[in-house]
Amino acid sequence: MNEPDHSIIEQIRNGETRKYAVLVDRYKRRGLALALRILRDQEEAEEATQDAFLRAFRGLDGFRGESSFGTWFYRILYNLCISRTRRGRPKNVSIGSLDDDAIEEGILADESADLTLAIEGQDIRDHVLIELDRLPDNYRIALTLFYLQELSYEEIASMMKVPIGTVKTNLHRARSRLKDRVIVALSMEGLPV
Amino acid sequence: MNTNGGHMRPEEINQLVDSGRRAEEIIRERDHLQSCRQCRANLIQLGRIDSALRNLPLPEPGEGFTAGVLARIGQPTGGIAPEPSFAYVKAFLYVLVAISIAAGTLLLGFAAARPQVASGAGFFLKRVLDRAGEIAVDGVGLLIGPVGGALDQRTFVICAIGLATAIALAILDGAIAHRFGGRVPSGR
Repeated sequence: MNEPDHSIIEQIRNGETRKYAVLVDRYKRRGLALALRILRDQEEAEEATQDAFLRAFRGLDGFRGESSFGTWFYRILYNLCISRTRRGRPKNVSIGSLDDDAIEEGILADESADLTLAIEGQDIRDHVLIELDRLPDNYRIALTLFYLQELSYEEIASMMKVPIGTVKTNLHRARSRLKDRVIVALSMEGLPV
Repeated sequence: MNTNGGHMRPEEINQLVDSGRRAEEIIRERDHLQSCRQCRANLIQLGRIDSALRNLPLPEPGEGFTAGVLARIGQPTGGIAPEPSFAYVKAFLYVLVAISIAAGTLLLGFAAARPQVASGAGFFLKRVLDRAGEIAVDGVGLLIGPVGGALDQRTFVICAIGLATAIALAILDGAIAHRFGGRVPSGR
């Protein structure tokens, strides 16, 4: 049974700072996933995630527990990553993804196409990973916060400073666009769709 | 049901996916989904994308990530060094040595090239600069000539001081590494 976050935080506040390693281990992978989706660079994402853990540690006394530690930490990390992107860092473009013309010309443009998917887990997951990186920032980040950080609509809205309706719309459109792109990608590989 | 040319709107289907229920279960409850192949396929496809997104592999940070965080907050963990205050001492020593070498080189070079300037500064200074000039010449001789022939007492003293300084810095560096068990990891 994992020790709850609030219990660990209490111990850290009482001077057992080494216990912070438990929280770092608990949230580093999901944190890094978020940073990677925003920054798109492994090294920079790791730096940002470490910075966020550092800031979270220094701000631990001010953490009131109104949200979970994870949500609070992701907010710090999100803000840190966004501020890094605003400093004009160039973004890497993922390779192997589709351009919009391909989507336009894809089979989904043809309403008569047979839309029955005959593809399974791994194929979809591979293409989802590739195509996720090609989505616009607001779609990609919303999907990441929802699926990888497992945040609620309200938490995402608060973090991204947009209305909840916008979050829902972004999520739905992102998922639909992702679906279209994955199907086109699979059809181009000759896999049945 | 809101329609979209006879089909369910994408938002509606997305909401059904968000409900977290299985596609088969949703289809059984909705007449339209049972009769409309396109909407049914759309729901199933979105459900699979949803499932893939929920099961995306998480990236693994580099080795030493956690230790790197702890080091940065000043918390030593088994063999991992925090950012020690010795780093500043060491940096100061390096800077001091660098400045000394630069100043010494400048002085020696100046004295060797312009020994007449020294005469106006008094006998003592002249003596110092003359000697420094000699040392510089000897130093050059040491570099370009046979080592044994040029190695006089002054050159030897200069070399010994330089060597002792380098050894002292190396020992200090080693002592710090030994005290904290290694270098501060980058987190990668």
